[in-house]
Amino acid sequence: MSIIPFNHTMAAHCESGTVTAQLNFHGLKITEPLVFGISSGLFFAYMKPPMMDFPMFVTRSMPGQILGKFSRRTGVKFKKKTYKDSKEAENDLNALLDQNIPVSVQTDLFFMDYFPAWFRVHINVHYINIIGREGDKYFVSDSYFPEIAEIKRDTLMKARFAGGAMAPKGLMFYPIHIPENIDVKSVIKKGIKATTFDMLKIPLPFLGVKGIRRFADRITDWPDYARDNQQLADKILRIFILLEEQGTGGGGFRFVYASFLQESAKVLNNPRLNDLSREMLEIGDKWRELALAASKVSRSGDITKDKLAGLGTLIREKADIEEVFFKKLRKEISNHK
Amino acid sequence: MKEKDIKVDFREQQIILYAEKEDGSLSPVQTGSYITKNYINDFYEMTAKIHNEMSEKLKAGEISPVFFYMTIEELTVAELASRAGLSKSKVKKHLDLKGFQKASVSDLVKYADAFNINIANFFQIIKTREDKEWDPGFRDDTNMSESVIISQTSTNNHLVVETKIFHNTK
Repeated sequence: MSIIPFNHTMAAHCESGTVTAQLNFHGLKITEPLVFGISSGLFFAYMKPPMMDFPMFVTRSMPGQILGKFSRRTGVKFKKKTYKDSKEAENDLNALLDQNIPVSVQTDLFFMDYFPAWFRVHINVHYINIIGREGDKYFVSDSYFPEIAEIKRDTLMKARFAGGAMAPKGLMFYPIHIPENIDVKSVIKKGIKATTFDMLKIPLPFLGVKGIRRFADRITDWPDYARDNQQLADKILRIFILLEEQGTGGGGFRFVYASFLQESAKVLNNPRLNDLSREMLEIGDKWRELALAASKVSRSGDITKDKLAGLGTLIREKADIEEVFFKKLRKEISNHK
Repeated sequence: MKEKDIKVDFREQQIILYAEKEDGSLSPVQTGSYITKNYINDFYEMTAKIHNEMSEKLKAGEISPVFFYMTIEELTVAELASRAGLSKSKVKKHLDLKGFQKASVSDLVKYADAFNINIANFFQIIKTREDKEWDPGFRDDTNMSESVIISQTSTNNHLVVETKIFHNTK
């Protein structure tokens, strides 16, 4: 058996958790909230992609952007590679593991059969660290699993080469250069500025605070997309899952971001960021209230337009408070010397 | 969100939430999943209902096996087409039984890979007993504590699966 001595820890989110664990392994001591905040992971979007039969919302940036933005801002270089040939991907993975280099890969979560059936859905943007191999199986450090997991070779290859939206194409990555002196103050400020831009300034009606308002306006249309009441109830319950349980750290990443602001206050020696962290904590609590309200509506069985409009009101409230919050944060970080 | 407010005792699914500790710091807290603990029975009921409905339709010839697996794996036509490497119009044709009968073996292999099932399971429904844990054709159920075990193992011939049925002696 060959497992690289890798400090396996669970994390709130798979991409930020996977990147953080890799950085820690390579000697850069950094927390998940710092990785998340520096790479401007916080976001909001509401849309109805053509490939999906139902509208969707996200509370974080596009998959892959945490890795990309963190790298660009800090100067940490990652070796990244996608593949057409699965055999080549497997050979490269094995060669790196044999050199004791943990490798991060993108997978379809559905194939991660160490999770229970209820957790496994087809989603092509699940990131894991492969930390060893033995015979026909690999050892996996997965941010969503409490222990080091095992996966069969065939299953891992299927997961890495699943087709569909955002197909992984065998993507693997690992850090190859970490600068000795990262200007943490500067990259924190860049990260915060970009997040406030994303939430306030992108001129598209479905992104940022405008996206939250669109979600509020359009949730009453959801029955039109549903096959039946059961599917509608399931989709509304997923509001809770997406905000609270599916790798967000709670409150749709707002608590992770509050933690990031708390760390930033110390690094930048700016107590006002601590106050803003407290505010973000309260905003996270309000998103949590929405999640609980959605689960109640889902379970009530009788999902009327009035009940959906009630959820819409709660969602609109989040848009209003986040607009005020991000304007304050933008001003604070712009004024910080 | 305070640490003491989020602790859920549910070992089967653990998650990380960021919460406020007593000293005011925000830290990751490992806890059980509230939603899974409280809604897992609803999930099983809903899944069983969909499986049963689809299974009845499949047996009545109202839908094709492709439609059956597409529905229970929550894929859309576009997503399935992309995953299987087939056109959307072709997938649509294969959703009813008449169109499915014109599908080529190579198309079926592509569907089976996309669904992560053995190709043989397009043409059979294996039933052992009433059991929430058993998803037809999805996986080996080696952890059952009693009764019959059905184990499906791929062979070097990708069109042939070896299905073993035996009593669990554990």
